[in-house]
Amino acid sequence: MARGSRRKRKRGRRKQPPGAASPERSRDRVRLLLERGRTREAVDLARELTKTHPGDDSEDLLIRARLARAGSLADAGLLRDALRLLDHLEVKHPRAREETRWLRLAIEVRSGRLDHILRELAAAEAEEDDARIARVHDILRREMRNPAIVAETPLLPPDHPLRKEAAAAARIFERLVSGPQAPNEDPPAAAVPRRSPFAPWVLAGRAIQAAYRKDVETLRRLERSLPASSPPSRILPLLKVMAGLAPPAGLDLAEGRVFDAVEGGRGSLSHRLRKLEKEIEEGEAGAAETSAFRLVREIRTRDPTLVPEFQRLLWEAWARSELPLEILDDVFTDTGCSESEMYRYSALTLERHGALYAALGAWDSFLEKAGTRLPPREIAMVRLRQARLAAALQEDLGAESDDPWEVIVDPLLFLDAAAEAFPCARTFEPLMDTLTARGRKEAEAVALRWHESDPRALAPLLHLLHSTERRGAIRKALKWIEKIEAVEPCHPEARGGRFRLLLAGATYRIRRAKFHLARRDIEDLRQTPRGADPEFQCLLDGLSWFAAEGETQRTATLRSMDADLGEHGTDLLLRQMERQLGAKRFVPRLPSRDGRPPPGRVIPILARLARVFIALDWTLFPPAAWKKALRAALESWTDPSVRDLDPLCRIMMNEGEWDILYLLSGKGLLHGGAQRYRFLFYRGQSFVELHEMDRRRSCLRAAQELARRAGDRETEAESRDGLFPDLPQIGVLMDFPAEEDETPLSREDLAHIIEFEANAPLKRRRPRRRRKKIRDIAELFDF
Amino acid sequence: MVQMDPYDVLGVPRNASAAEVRRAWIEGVRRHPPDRDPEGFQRLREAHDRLKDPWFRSTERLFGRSDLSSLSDLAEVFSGKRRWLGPEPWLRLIGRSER
Repeated sequence: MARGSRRKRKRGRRKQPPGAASPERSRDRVRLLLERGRTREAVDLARELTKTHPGDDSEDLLIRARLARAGSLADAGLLRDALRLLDHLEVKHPRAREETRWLRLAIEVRSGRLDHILRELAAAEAEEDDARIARVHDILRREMRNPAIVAETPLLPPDHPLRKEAAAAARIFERLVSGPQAPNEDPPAAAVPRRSPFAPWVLAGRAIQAAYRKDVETLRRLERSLPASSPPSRILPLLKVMAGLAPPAGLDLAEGRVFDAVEGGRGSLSHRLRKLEKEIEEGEAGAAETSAFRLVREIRTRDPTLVPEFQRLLWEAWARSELPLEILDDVFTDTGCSESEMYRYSALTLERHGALYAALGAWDSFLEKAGTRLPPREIAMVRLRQARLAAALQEDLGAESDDPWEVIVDPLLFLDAAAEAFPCARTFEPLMDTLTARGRKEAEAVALRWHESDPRALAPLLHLLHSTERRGAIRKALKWIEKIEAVEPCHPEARGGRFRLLLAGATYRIRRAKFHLARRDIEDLRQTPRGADPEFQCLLDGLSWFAAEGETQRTATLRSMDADLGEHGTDLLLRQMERQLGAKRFVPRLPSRDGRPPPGRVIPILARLARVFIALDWTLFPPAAWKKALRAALESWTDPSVRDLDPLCRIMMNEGEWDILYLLSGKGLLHGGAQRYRFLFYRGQSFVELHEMDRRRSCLRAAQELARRAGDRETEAESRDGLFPDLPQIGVLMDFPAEEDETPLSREDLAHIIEFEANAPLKRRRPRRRRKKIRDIAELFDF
Repeated sequence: MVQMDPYDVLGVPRNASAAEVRRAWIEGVRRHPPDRDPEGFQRLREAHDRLKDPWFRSTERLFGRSDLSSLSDLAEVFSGKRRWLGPEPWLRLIGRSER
């Protein structure tokens, strides 16, 4: 009822004679309709108006309405109708001929006809009528749908600027829409001036490039430059979608098609894949089979490399919905999918579903069916995957370690099979790691296999070196070192290892009184880079003294040592070495000499021996007289160096000589330079009394932080260990915060701690000693 | 979410030969030299290192691509492969009647 009455009212309004309203109101209505683009109604009303109220005003309005109508017909693609209306307009209203002519030219350009407009241009250029030339250019800018038409027209001479500009614009546009250009490598557009009617085409081409690159900033900039009235601006909505600035939902059908083509048909493919997923989920096996059949063909046409991925995902989805897998046979066999591939899909699906044991079986079947077609590398990869699955399965079985399955699924079997199939680092490494972690002897045999398959691989050689060294097979270990050096002449492990092994060999032989063999080792030691270092001469001389052939040789060696270390130093070294060599039974008797520390040479001798012993991982035990002499010498030590201070600190720390360590660290803090953090660590370690715990803490925290910044992991770890000593009661009594509750030390805090400790008095402050009373100790506890 | 695909970074098809990968790498380095575009060069190098490794390709072939876990993910793969259509579709779009 309501609809009918509304239609009636509308019809009634339309049929209302214009005379019923005043002419002025009718004219306003016509203008309003034109503004709103309702040109047909505007023409009807203007025509009625000319009948009821003839006159120039009404005719002008009718001309305006008809021109607008012709324009809207042309916009709708009805170019012939538009031209017919213009013919009618010219006949009926001769005074509108000029306007009609320009509109006709515009519509002709839009339809690809250029003869009239170019004739107009030629005439305007001949008359040098700039206004007309500008108008022609404006029409070309607004209506030209393809610059190539102007570029190829015979109506303009080849050297006409407009034709050259059009050719350049067409060429640039084509290049920009045909392939990617680097962001700063846009083709030069100097041939198309900014004021040219074809300039929008160059801008449009650049905008397309930006949209492909998803370069939003450039696209926005070009959008601002592109005139909205030019035809190329019509692609902007699509370009915004391509750049991700707008959703694809806003595109019309034609734009959507281009977008889909740009995206490689992704839109339609995505829709069909989702449909297939839904069909599988809802258990519609028949429909899903048809969809899958079509999709596999389409994917094969688009990108054959993706067909196996499609099949894998289809198999998984199919199995998840528990649809009968036989149905998929046709879909798979159509693409030449082999039986082994189906086992592969099956294994992957089972893995995803957590059926690890079944997956192991499926992988076995895959390997069996694939047979020799599978390259060894891929066999090894499958075996490695099986090893991972087996490890996960073993973890799941966990407590049930006596389960008979565990034997079957031991990852070692698969790792071994992988190394067998494709011997290389990627297969041997996990096998050796597993064997080593389990402490199995087979690791050495596997390393040997690896070495045989790849003699230049360092990892098995290093493993063999360490394992033979651990067994005490020093000669064998030295052979491995030779092999390592053949692969990498300057390998640090080999360089350090040779010295270490020869030294171990020499000491072993001295202990067993095999002095002639020990002498051979010592000679070999002298050939190593460390053996040639003058710092270590005293050590080798010491060994030579123990392994000397007779008294004459021993005396000569002693003389050489005396020249190097002095009588007192030689005595100290030989005694320390005797202690290190252990078995005194075969060791010659030490000469009876003055063992007192030499005044003035305590520091250099002790520092040197400390350096040598630390480098060998031996322990130096300085006698009490030497320590006392060192303490006395420290007060007058004016030019300390880090080279001497550091080993002395280390030795005194090991000896628990806290006062000497305090003094040494103080020197180090003053003269340590970039290594000051190490002396901060020693300073922290020197505080062991309860009343010094705050200082210990601040020193070690600062040392830890500075070592971290310097990348010295060892000192960092030592400082951290020192912060939380094996005396938890100290931490409890002093109410230390947990490590995670610490606030990090700032640069100022660190500078303050260093300055405070460096300038601290050399004499340590000690609390007044008094007899401890039970009452005092009880005060420490909160009860 | 689709990860950075080394094939897309180098602009080679998935079945590209070692020689094609190498050519694409050399071409890429020319476009993104390490001194002018270190990030682009780093991306290229990572992609090249992966594609150079025969184990990477075999892993994909045997165990599937890690970025694809459902059928609809497959459509995403095509998004990284935008096609260049040439001038025709664009001219048709520009030359059509008003929207």
